[in-house]
Amino acid sequence: MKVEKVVGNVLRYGVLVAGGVIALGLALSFLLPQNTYPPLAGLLEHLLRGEVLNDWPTVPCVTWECLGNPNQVITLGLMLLIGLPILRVALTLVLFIVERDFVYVMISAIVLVVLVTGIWMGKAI
Amino acid sequence: MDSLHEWLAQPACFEIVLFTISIVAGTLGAILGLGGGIIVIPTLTLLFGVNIRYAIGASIVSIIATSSGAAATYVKDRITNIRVAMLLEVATSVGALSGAILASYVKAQWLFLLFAAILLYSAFTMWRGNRREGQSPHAEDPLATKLRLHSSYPDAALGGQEVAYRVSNVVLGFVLMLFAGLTSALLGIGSGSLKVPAMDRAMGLPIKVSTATSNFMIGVTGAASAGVFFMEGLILPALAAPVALGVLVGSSIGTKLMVKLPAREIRRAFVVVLLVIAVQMLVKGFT
Repeated sequence: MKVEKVVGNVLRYGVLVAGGVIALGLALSFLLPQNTYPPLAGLLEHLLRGEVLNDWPTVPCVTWECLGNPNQVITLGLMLLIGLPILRVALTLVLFIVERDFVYVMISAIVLVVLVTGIWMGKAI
Repeated sequence: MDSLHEWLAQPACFEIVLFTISIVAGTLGAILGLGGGIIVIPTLTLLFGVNIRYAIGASIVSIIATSSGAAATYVKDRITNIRVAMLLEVATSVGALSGAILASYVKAQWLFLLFAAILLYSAFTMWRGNRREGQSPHAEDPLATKLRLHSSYPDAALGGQEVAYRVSNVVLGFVLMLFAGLTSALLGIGSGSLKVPAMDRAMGLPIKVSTATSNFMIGVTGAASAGVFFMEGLILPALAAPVALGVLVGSSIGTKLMVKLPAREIRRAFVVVLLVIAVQMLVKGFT
């Protein structure tokens, strides 16, 4: 069946790309500790004591300048990873449209709307 | 304990230990249709002493990584039932969204106990019900026929033989998934532990189809809540990176193991894990 093949491939390559970016970021945080903010060693010291790290904002930022910080490269990879399930639902919607399976077009559309609403609400909080 | 912490505070040690443990979490998660939170959260909080907020953030990453990593293989091998997954995702995502809204009004304490009770009941029925795969104990549901949910999957443990199955109790399954989505948002857990029994017991899906389909679904519920965690700064790159990478490696090992494992073994392993989660929930509920 076509749906399985396309969805399977997108997930496979998506996971490879996201994993690659995360691995790159992690490697860079060891190679370029001076560029890494928050610094790994200092962060762990607080983290292992169970502290909440209010002094170290970790808000994602993917501008070219931000990506000089290996932590933001990791964050970019994580965002790609988190985007995969959403992309997968959108893709299923398109594939059901192509197959003219309108009950499942409706079902996929509802899932996508609820998902986007949840993410949008997350931003509003 | 102090010398252990000193050793762990070295970045390389910390990342390697967390990566290795995450491989185990990903393997187990991929086989059983869970997100790996049952391993990632206790490791971070009990062993490392990390604040629970960051542990939950890391476990959300673990859920999404297990889901996408495992689904890539299961979908290609035709073990995942995409129609069942899409239909039930309506329920889990609506449930999760309601849970997110209700979270500040509901006391989590008694929910943990309720959740533990449901897990114990699921473990009990799954332990008893060692039926033949593909043979639902329930009557066939005409709604399942209308929604074209019946399907078949190739079972590598049976020499690649095609196992056909019929789906029953669609409405009950849908309601159980609403509850699964609600609790996952309220308690901050992936709730694969509720999804698998609901598909296996109520809807009569074979155990392998249940765990593969649960794996496929947990990523969507996880992604819906990940946005909130990201914006509140609870997903720390230092934790999330080794967890994501370890789980991706683990889930690829897990999918290879799962297709070859006999269904009975998977069912038994799942019962054991259900009991472990039930104990975790009871501890949380009483403290």
